[in-house]
Amino acid sequence: MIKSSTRATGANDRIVRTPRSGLRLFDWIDHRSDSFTAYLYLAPTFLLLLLLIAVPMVYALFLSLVKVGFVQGSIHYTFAGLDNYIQLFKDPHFTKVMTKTVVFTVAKVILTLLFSFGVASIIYFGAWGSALFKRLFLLPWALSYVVNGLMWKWMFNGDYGIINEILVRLGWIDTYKAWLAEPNSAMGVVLLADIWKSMPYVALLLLAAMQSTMKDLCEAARTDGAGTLGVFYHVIVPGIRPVILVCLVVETMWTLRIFDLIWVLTQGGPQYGTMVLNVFAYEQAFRNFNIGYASAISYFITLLTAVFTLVYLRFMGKEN
Amino acid sequence: MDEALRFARAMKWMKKGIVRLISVCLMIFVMFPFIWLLLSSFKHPVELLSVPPSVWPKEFTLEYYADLLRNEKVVLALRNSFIVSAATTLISLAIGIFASYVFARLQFRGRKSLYLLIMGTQMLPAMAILIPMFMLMRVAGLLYTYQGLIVANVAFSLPYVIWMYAAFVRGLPYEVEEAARIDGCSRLQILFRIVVPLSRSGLAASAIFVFIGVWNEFLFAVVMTQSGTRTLPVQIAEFIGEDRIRYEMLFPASILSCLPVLIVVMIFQKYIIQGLTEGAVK
Repeated sequence: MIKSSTRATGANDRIVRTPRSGLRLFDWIDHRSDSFTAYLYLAPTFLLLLLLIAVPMVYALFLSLVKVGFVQGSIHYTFAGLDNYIQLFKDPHFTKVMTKTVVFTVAKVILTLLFSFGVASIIYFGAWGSALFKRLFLLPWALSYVVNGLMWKWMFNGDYGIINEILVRLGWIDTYKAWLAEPNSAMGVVLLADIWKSMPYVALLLLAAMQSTMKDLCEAARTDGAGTLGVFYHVIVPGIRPVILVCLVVETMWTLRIFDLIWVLTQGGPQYGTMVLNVFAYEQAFRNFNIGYASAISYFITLLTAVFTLVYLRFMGKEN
Repeated sequence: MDEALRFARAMKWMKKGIVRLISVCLMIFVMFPFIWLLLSSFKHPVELLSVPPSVWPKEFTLEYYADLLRNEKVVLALRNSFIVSAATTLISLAIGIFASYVFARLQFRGRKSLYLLIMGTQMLPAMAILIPMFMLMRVAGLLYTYQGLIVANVAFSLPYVIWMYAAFVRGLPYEVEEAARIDGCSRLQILFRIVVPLSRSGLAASAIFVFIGVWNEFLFAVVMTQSGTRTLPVQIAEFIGEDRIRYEMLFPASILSCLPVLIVVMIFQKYIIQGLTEGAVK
């Protein structure tokens, strides 16, 4: 994914001098070495990331170790050790939330990848209008999760939803069903909505990878007597493996981050049926104002993400 | 012989037919939810809440779109969204151009680890940063202001800009820069007179990505804004949360919120597809 093709530029750095301008300091800065320039140009980026990512992360660690109280607008901290973490593991909802998170993440990533792979292959095998597909595919990608959630909420509406009407007409169900009021079907709707949104991006990536697999390699396989499917299975699929892994990593990261969609569709309900860790943390932090507890949960999410990343990295390391 | 030929032809025809059928189903799957939202946005409430739902609006009405543009909250949210997205895009690009150039062209110690460090921030779950950031912004007095939301968004967009734009810069021919250097261009002149103009498309793609991302962003916006600074997605979510959901307002509002994005996407789709696929495939 990350490749560098930088050339050595150090050599002719100081040979050439610009005509002296009035601004001597400016001139001086402009003729420093590559390293100096690099650090100078990177300074704003790192300052910003330090202030807005690193400092909050450290502060969150602190928050997760205290009880936070709000008294007359000022904040009070009481040291609590690992109480917040212990509370998390003792929380009667924890097992359920954890199960929902893992089930949702695994199901979504696998289904999206399979579906996208199918779609990409269909387009690769010349479904007409691959150009048109590419264009249409940008639509779900460009819609916000809020609009996406609203759309599905409306279609699956228990009283006026079009899905109910279609299913009744088809004879698959007898009466309108309140899809979002029952834990399992609600989870299904959330999954469907999320897959609808992420499938196009993954399919575009896989398609691009398939199309960029070396043409001569395919030709060679073909002359050796492989059929279209043979070429696909033996040349293209192994060829796009790195990209599949990239998709896997990216999708997992995104799925572990999901919040808006669930918030709009179900707010984690019914009966914790779609309550994933993120929604749980949000509720604790911004509804119940258990800042310490919520920080502990969010650190747990970070840990979970790290574990997933490490597993994938090992997996990828073995591949290469 | 004749029989076999006809069979082969039939098979081929059938294969084509099946592929086409699947393609059509796929297109319907991708398009239908949005089309349904669009159709619903033209319906009167009576029709929206009728059973069975009517597919085609009996009477196309733009009344609720007009209502929307008269609704102070919505107009304000639209304005806020524009301010926050545009400012975030400008700032991220201004900072990101320098960092991208560094990673694309300069050799220095710690180059790789610094790059990984920046990209690593993208892997952190947003929730883990949101909670402490909420508290810190509160202390700094930036909570519920544009500035607070903008800097938060910049922090999340910046790695993305660097990742994308550096790839474009790397693709430029280095000879031009070398020639400019020999002709006596300073570094900044090279960057802004040569690199930036040559990579306009990359800059446009990065800008579009940041803009769309921030325009659609919800989690940070919902926590870090208040009635005066609310962005459009937050306002829409607010409408959804009301006791009696006013669908006739909600659907036009949603369409309004995706319109700018969809227009931009249609105009720049070539760059977007390039930007989306380039980094990951190569």
